[in-house]
Amino acid sequence: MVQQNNKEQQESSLLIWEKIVSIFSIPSQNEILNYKQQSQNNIENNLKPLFNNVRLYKLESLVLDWYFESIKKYFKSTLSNEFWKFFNNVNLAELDSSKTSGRELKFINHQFALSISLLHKVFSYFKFNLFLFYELLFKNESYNFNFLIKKLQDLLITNIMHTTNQQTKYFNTILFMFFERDFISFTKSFYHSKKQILNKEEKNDGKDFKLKVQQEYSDGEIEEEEEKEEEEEEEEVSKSYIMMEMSFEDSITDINIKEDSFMDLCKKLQDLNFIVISEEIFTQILFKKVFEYIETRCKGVFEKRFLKSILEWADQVIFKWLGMILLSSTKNNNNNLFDEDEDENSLKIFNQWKTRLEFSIYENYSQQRISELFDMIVQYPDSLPSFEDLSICFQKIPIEKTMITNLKRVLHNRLLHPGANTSDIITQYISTIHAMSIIDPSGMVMDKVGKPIREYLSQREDTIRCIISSFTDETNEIYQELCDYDPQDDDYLNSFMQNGASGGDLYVDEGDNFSNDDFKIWNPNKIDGSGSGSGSGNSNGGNNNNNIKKKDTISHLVNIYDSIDLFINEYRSMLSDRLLSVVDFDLDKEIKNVELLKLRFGDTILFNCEIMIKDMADSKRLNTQIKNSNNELKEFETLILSQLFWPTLKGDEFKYPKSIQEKMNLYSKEYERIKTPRQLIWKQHLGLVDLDLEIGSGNIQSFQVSPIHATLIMLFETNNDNDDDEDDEKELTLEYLSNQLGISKELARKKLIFWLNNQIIRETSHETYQIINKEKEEKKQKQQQIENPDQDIDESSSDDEDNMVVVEEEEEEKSTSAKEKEEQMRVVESFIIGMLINFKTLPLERIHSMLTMFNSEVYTSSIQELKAFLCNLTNEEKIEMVGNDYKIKK
Amino acid sequence: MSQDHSVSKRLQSELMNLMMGPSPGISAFPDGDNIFNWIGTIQGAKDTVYEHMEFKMSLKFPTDYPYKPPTVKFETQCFHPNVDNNGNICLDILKDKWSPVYNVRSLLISIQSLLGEPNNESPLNSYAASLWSNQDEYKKVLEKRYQEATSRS
Repeated sequence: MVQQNNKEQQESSLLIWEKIVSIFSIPSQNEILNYKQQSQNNIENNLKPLFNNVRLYKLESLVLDWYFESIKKYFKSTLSNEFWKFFNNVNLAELDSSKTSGRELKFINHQFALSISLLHKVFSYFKFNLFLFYELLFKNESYNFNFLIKKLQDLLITNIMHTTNQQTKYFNTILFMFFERDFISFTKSFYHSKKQILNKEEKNDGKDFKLKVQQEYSDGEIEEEEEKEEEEEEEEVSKSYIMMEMSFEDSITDINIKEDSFMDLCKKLQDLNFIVISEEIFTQILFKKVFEYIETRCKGVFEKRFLKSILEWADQVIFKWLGMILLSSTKNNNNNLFDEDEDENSLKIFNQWKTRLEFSIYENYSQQRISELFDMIVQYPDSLPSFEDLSICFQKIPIEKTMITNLKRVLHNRLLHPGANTSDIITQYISTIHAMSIIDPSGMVMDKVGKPIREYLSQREDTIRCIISSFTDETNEIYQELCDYDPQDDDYLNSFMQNGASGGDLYVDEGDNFSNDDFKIWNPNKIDGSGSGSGSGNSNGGNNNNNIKKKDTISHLVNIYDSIDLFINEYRSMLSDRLLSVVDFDLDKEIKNVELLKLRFGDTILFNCEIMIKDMADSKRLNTQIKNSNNELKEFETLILSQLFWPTLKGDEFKYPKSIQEKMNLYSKEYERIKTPRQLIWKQHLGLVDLDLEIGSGNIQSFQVSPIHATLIMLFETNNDNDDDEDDEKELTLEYLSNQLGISKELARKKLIFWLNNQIIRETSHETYQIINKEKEEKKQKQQQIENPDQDIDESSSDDEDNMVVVEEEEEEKSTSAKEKEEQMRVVESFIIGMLINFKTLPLERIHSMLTMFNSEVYTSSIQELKAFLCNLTNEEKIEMVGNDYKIKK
Repeated sequence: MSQDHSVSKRLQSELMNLMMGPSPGISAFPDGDNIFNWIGTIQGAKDTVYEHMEFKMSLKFPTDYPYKPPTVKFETQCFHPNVDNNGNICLDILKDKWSPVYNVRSLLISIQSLLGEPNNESPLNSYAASLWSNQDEYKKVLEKRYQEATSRS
């Protein structure tokens, strides 16, 4: 190469070249290591003239190229081997941070430190030489020294660490293990120093402080008795934080790799430019640690707030460590010969990573919480702190979508299935509402999450019933909310009910920094509405924040159905049941309930219920009045209901015994006299009878039964009390009984079961019944000289078995909505019949379209439902199918 | 338009009424898509010559119903002193005696009773009117005509 150069310069340039080569040829390893900086003298006297000549002959770039080439050779052939020699005893292929023992790890890290030292020394040597080149050759040109350094760094990395893929991998593993281990040591020493502070404070301050700190770091129970114990304890504390298997030999003193030496090493790595390429690696460790830390500390623990302490931890551990690595060069500013912007640069990188890690804390925490949302909701309100934490995350990072999808899925899997009780679903729904209002006061999340729950609940028949009972159950929180309801917020409520979402004026508690969003201007149409609107600072008062939740709960429940009428109807029928079936009901409580509901839903809608309760009070007065006017009616307690306002009271009609009926008529007359022109219609199936049964003589049993039971047993009544004892009790057939009562045999049989079960009557032969008269039986038995009274019991208990087989079935209560549906289908049926009379035959589609057209208010079924319904009518032989058409069955 | 609406509302409620509380032997339902056109069904009352016979009617309601009566015709040909060959009926309440208090039900009941008690003073079908006094003969002719009418349709 050189020879081909300019002929004029050939001779002298050759000379210079040889000189350069002799001075700058790569020395032996030892020489490099023991290399001392050339004295300024030497530089001035020998090198400067030489380089001047180089410049003279314009050999600068040639020299530089040659030098880099020889460095490259040296790196490749010699230094690489030297470097990997440090790891000769390590089975690099099987290196794995989780499996390698502590001892081996220590060894590797030690070797790593040594190897980096070596590299750094070599690097410094070349760096200095390059600096000479720079100073003497390029100083005045626009040549950047950093460029040379960069080139040197690249040469080092590509020729030593990254010669083969495998080496790259090994080197990364070593780096990873080094950083990870150091991080662990660091956290340990961090907690150790914490601990020392703690111990000192403890000794000084006594228990108060200890308790305080213990709460803060409550994962470790700190005991103070003996030093040794404490050390073990310490070990546990740090273990629980860092989740790493650590052998006991790593006592605290020895794990404490001095921060200085670590920083020193980091600085070397920084110089070698390894930090930049290993960023991936140590940040990966940090992300992993953040994840582990959050998972270990927070998983399944919802009763405490963690976010703040996690951030503190990050600040004290993660960021400090990160700073040690990234900012190591800045700390030793005076050593930094060359680059000023390096500081700024690493600070920039540090801040970038800090932000990223902070973000990842929020992300990890919210992910952790989102995966546990269902359990958190189950534990609400104990889990309140974790919801508050999550709400902070909700403000910081976009998690609505994941939260909504996850919550929807988990609710669907774990709650909205046939195995769950309706009341449980409602409880969970309410908790969800509360919890979501903490996270997202705008209600957007709840709106989405609640939809499937509402839809599911509206399918269940007993939902209304459950909700209504929660409205009236004093122990229920909904009832409490109803009580706390402040009608002054009515305007708000109205707008809320209309929009189905929040509107109106909301105020934010200033103390809760997470709810500073301006949800006043929240727009429900914004599908992915993020929770981070601009804070409006609209914080006039804190109390109303709670009201939002309350309104939410009840309105959310009511919103399950389209109209509030359904609820009120259900409430009315439940109220009616309670008033009619319970004798000693608490009227004051019912009045209070109605008043509360009135406040909440308005007067008019609860008008009927008010009348019903008023009827109760009025009846009492009227009763006394009527009883006073006629002594015969003393044993009557009558409830007089205003028919218009009560739900329809359906029941089995039957004939009362004549004696009772007469008195009832008398009562009616009295009533009609007082209250003309009103009339009394007796609801015979309702009411209660206090009954004393005297079987034989002196043996009196008391019952409280329904009128039909009483009437039934009255038929067995015998008038000839004192006549011939020898006569057996009346034997009555089912036929007779049902005729007397004017009810079906089936019903009579059902009602008899009550008396059979109470051992008052027995079935003597098929469908024939008789009063059990124990007295007489005993007498008979005595006559038969059987003296063992036990046998008597045996007999009756064997009787018992026969009777016990049948149990009176209570007709399942249908909820009002089901009844309504039935009623609707009855209307639809008459329409179908009417149609078929006039049209003779009609196909399915035509029936459907005519019903839709002329009976739109009632008819809401699909054509499939209609088909099924028509099929029922066909089965009931009301209509028949001819071809594709339906017609009246004749 | 609003008038139309209130009329159809009234007709809707009459329909609901009729469906939910049917009277024996009469029925009616809107014919097709238009609530202003109905078809009705009348069965001959018991103990009259028309017993066991069933007649289809058509009812066309004016837009000012119920202030004006509907136009009612027999669709099944009916042999009757007050019904002509085209099914037109001579009944006072369908003309000058109409009152808004009448409705589809009362109208159909009136026509049903007209079958058994014709007004022979002003017959549309004088042959039927003349034959009425002889119930046996009348019934023979009626049945023959009814057979013809129903088999035709």
